[in-house]
Amino acid sequence: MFGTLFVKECKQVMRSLIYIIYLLIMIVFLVGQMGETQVIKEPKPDQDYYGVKESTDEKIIMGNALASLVQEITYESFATYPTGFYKAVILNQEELDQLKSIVEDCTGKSWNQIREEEIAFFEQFGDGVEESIQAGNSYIVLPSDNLEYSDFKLKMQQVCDIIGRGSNYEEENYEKGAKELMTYEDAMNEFHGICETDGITGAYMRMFCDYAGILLAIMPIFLGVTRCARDRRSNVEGVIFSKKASSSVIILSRYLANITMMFLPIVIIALIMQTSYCYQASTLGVTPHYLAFVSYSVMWLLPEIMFVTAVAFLLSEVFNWIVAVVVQMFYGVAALMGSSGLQDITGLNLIPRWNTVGKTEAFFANVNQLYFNRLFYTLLAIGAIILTIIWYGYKRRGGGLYGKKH
Amino acid sequence: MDTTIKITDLSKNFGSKQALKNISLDIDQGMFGLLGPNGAGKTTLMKIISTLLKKSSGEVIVCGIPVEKSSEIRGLIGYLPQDFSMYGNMNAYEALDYLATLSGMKKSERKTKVPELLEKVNLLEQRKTKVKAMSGGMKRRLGIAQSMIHDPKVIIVDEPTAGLDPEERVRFRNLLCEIAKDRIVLLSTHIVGDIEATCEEIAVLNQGEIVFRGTVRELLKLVENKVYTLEISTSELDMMKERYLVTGILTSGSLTKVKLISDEKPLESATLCAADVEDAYMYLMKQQEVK
Repeated sequence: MFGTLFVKECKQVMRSLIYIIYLLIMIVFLVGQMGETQVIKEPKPDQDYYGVKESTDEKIIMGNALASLVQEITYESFATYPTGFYKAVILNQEELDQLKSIVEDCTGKSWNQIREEEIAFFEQFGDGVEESIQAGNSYIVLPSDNLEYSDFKLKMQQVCDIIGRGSNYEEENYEKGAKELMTYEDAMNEFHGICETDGITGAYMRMFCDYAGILLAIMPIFLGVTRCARDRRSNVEGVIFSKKASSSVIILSRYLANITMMFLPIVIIALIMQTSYCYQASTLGVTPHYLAFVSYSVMWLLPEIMFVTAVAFLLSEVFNWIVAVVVQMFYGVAALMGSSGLQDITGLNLIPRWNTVGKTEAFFANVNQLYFNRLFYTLLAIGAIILTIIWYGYKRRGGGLYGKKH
Repeated sequence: MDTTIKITDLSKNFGSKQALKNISLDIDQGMFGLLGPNGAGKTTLMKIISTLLKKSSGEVIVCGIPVEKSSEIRGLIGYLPQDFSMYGNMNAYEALDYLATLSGMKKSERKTKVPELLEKVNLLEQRKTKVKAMSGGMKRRLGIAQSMIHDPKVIIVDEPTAGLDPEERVRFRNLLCEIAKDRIVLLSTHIVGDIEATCEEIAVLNQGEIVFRGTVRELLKLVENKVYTLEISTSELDMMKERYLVTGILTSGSLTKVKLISDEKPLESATLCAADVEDAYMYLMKQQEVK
């Protein structure tokens, strides 16, 4: 019974308009984003720029934070994430002057001098996108030689008091976000990591999972609630409730069909994209990891689809589709906004980020945290779907949140 | 396996409202009609038998199995709810096949039973018609097909003819009679004509209580020699309605022919006539009102 129901549910999903929309959005978004991804090349010794790497050097950390502060003071707008969502803070002139004074204290230079140096620095670069990124990554405002790191922390605390919660000047944020320019040797080390550890394809598939993960925190909600709402909308609850099939067979066949139909196209898109990366690997004389598309998708994206769909099922069955959509949209957006950077696989965020091709060593240094994160969401998904089955069984005997439901 | 439903002291409360009050009822094989006004508790009773509602107290045993064993009971019963529908994007064949799968039928069984049932309910030619394009009658026929698909011992049909045109209604009643040969078909309705045309054994439910249990013939006995017809002036109609239980009115100009129920001859010009189930039902309900 289960297998037949599963196949029938898959067909139902395939015929639904929401599924067609899901496919279109996924294809357009992933192809669009991955199409713009940089091509992996072996670094040359005479390059001007090799990218950036994370830094734990206190001078660099201070220089990065001060550079960010100088630019935000110049634009008179400060990015903050007080509740996980972006909020631009605008300060009055007095507060801006206080910040300028802090920068002056940290650098030992006047504000005007700092501004002149900033303008001169950026004038060296052209207007192109790559040059702008290079300029942004390279700009640093070095602190004065006698500024101790502990004093710097106190100054940044004052900055936070002026700007408010969730700014770039909270200790956790500026320490995590510190970057320094890579040398040729750094770039070669990274290149070897991408070739040997990732087989080229692995590096791209992480990027793929980063993009797909954003959409998969939201899109499965709609497919999940549509499946659950269909029974009520079509007025078939009564007749289905009276059938012999157990609640676990009914719910699991629907749940697994939804997951399969959402996950399959992701794997197929990943496979198609991977073929070009395999070709790229062969041109570099590297043996690609042929199963990277499936191993990364299963480990990274499947738990997310499972979790989001299971919660959509649970909330739709217990409350209604509106509650499910509102709660999960909020949670999905908060998870995206709550990511502390574009390369963060630590913690329990629903959407781990790795928006770069490479940084192989850094990724594998924290990969166990990613495994734990994904295991956590898999277990939550299993818990949510078990609760859904129990609730569905209760509904079949006339139970409901507001008394008699059918 | 015995084909009976035994209900003993069954009660169902929704908060402070008592929908069923200590009902006891034995139902044997064949068509059984459950008659009563809207809100009498018919649907509640049917849902309890179908395991879709929990009883508050009492005992319900279907074919020897207590209703608490819901998974076993669900294999024994076929249920057609009052407002049956299916997913609009499925056609008749797919809908029936889907519900047959939920009833636990194997592919080989479904392959023979689904077309067979569609033919029985006269939907074989429309097997590719989408549910959303079906008329009320077609949906109801699909509904009865799904309730029979797994060959259940008990079929529970809730208000099956409501909203159907006369032709569809007659066709549907005949279909119910056909399928009741070797099982229990429990038919709930507030349309007296449905019961008269299909059931021998009936129960009348009013305000959660069984106010009559017996055969149609026994129900008719309640109004034996009590139903009269007479012709009156149309202006006298209101007066007649106040004094007697009027069950039929046919106005023709200034004269009106009325059918009424009275223990004694109402007027010299009145003549006794044959009573039908509707007269008996109305009389029974009136007696309940008086009580």
